[in-house]
Amino acid sequence: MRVIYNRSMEGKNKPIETESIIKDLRRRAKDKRIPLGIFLIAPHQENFNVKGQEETIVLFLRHHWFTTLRWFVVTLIFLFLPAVVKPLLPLEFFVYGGKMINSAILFWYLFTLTYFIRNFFDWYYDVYFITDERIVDINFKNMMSRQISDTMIERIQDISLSQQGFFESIFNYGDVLVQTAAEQNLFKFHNVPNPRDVLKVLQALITQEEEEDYIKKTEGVGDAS
Amino acid sequence: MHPNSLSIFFYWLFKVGFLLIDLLFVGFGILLIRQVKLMSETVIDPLNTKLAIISWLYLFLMLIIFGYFLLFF
Repeated sequence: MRVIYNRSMEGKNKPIETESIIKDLRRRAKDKRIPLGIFLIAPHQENFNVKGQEETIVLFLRHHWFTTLRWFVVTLIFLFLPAVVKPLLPLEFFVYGGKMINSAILFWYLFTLTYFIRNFFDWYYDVYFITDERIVDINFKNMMSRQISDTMIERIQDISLSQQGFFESIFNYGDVLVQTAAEQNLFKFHNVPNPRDVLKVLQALITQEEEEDYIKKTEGVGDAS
Repeated sequence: MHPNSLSIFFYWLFKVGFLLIDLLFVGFGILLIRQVKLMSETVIDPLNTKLAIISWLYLFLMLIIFGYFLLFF
């Protein structure tokens, strides 16, 4: 399912109020103050270091928890693998066979722990912030790099939503693509929960920005006359 | 080759191998601590302190295992 919103649609629909959308989301939202939250509305505890003083965080997003299932299941398989493999190994051929096999199992568990930690941190620190002024994408790329991208709300030109697949429909997550006029012209909110609500919030913020711009311009014209 | 010599050879091969692998994990632990510190400064989150503690515990675990294999294996 794709939903496309374009700035040329402005004025053809009723004005969207950001506050009423946030109130409606809060009423429906279940994870309000969960540390591992994936869809937090106006969070109090989550923040980012380059946030402006007047800036307010509207939404805090992470990848949907279902996307973590793959590496979580792999971790569980890795945990149980030694119990399956060890009885099959020919220990009688090695003088130190038992000690070495136990050491190998220990290192296998260390590898499993490392695998789990690396994937967990990758999921945990891949976050998106939507504030009343901009959208911020913070990406934990790997152990040696991170990527932070942001763009102002007023530079957003198109927003599209993509929710394709059985699990995406069941668990209600998908991609929200934001086309901007900035240097980085495409922002992708990948596998975020409640993508329709994310779309609504972005629409409301864009409308709000345009209304503020219009008010500033008309005030300027009024002062001149 | 004498069977005892073969066993001793494999013993040292495994010991050095385990130590090298553990050094990789130690390196990963150092990178993890650094990356958690950087990400904690970027994304302010209630779990940041706990995650920093976990990363330090991970490094200490790897160092302990390194010490064990170096001295007692």
